[in-house]
Amino acid sequence: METVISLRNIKKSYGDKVKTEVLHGIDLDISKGEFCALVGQSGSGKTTLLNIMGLLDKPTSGTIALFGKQIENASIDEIAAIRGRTIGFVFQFHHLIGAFNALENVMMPMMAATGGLATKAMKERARYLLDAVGMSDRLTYKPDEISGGQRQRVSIARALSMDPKIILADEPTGNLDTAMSNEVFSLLRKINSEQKTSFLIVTHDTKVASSCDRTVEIVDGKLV
Amino acid sequence: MFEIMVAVRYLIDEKKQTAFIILACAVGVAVMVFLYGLISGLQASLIDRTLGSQPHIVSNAHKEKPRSIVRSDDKTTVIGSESRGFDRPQYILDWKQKISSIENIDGIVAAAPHLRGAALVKRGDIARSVMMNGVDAESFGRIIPVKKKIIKGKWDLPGVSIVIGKTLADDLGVVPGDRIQLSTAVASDFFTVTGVFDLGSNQINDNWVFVPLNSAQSFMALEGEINSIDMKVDSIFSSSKIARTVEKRTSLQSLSWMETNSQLLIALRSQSSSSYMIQFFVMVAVALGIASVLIVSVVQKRREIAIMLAFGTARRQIVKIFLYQGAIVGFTGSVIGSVMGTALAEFFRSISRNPDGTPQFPIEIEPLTYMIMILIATLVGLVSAAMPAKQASKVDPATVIH
Repeated sequence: METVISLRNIKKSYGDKVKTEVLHGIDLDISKGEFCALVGQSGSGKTTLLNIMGLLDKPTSGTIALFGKQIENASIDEIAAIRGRTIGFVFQFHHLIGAFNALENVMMPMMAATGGLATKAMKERARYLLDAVGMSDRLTYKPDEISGGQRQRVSIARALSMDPKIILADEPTGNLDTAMSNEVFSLLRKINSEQKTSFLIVTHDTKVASSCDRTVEIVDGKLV
Repeated sequence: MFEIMVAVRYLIDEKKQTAFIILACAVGVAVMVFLYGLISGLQASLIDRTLGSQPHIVSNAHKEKPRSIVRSDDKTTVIGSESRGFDRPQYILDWKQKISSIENIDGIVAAAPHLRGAALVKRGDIARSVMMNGVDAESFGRIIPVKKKIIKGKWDLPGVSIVIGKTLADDLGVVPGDRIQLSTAVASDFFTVTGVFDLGSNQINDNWVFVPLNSAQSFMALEGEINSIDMKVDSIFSSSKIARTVEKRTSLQSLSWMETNSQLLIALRSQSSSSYMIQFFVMVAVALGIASVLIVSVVQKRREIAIMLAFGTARRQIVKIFLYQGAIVGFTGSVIGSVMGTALAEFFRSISRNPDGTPQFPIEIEPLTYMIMILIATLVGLVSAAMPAKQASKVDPATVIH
């Protein structure tokens, strides 16, 4: 199976004078189409690991490869472009952009990538994705006009807009009630099986974790 | 375009904040437009009044230099060794050739002969000493628009005719069609008044009379000489430069209005620089206002900026989003401010009128002024957005999200 992202001996420490190492040499491979859960206590380094995998943060040492290509030497804007094309994010809080409606929020990554305005093709894709997450009747609603679950669906559609190879989801259902959370989870599963998008889902929820293909546990900055 | 679109949407989304900052910018620009209009209007009218009765350039024959009463080989020191000598007026005889060569100089609009001399006008018991101006009505009219300043009769000097000032006409009790006696040391004759002028200065209205050039010449026992060539130029502030060219071409001593009114020019310049100072500080205040609102906006939008960075927006795109916001605020504010400034100027004009209904403060705002103001305000907006934009581009998604 093709490896989407591959981490080797990733270490991360914070602080200048007193160094606190949060990650102590992580090795992790996510394959194409894999649906993987990352579990761990708070403070175990889950979020730090997710940030590094998502190229939002740089490791203190170690290598990251996307489809076998190492990205350490890329410039900050190149990394932003790689991130835009290959990685989708879903966060615990929706982080939609308040000034834009659902359709526009989904189109944002596409517009940012081209630097232009919305094209017909972008609109079609955004409609298609919002339809896929069951939001086709809320296209022109702004984030503050829809419910928490609906926002999360819009942000999942946005994460999919650039057809990413992997979606990193940080507690995607953490802020939702059980019914809503089941709905969102099955949506992620559906996308995974239909589009073969890899997923790494950070969760506290053991039920969520047990429904994944693989569970990776992080304890004190090490995978166990 | 993506960046402009996001900038516009952000501004629309923060309606109140945007309205306040655009208003602040508009008020600043309104003050600038109003002040600029007032100052330049005042200056234009001052210059207009000054040049209303004065040619832009006057060329005279060189006066005889004062001769020393002490010979150079004399060893004796004499206090007050120089005599000013006789300040005898010198005349220009070949003025027709000189005028045609002057008319070929770049920037010269018109040139006309002028002969001045002292004379006496009399009507009945009343006599007044006057300055007799011998001119050619048509060519002199191109230098000084006497035609527009005629309040009775017309600007025309046929045969033995005379055009006199308002005060003098009142004193003598004459109207166009009446005859008055004009005398000099060598001649005396009756002249028909064809027009009465008001050149805006009491002294001139009281003292000047215009007669045909040939009449003045015969009244001064001259045979075709004049004592100066008067000129009008197309750009009044190049008068001095053009005067130097005239001097070179004609070897006549030439003085521009800028040299004869240097005090006025100094006053105008200091007035302009104080107005620029005020405008500068107004713009600084506007810039600080825009910058502070955008800084607040960056803080408010940290999470959104972080998420935009996360989904692949480049940092330079984030910088542009905030720079455009500054520029849009500057542009919109200055367009509104221009309208406000103009309205303010109009209002000011309507409340401050002379008893005769003419505006007390002439306010002149040209289209170019608006364009410059709008350009300046847009640039100020752009510059004041630089710091907030830099701050926005430094948002670290790894620490802000989650």
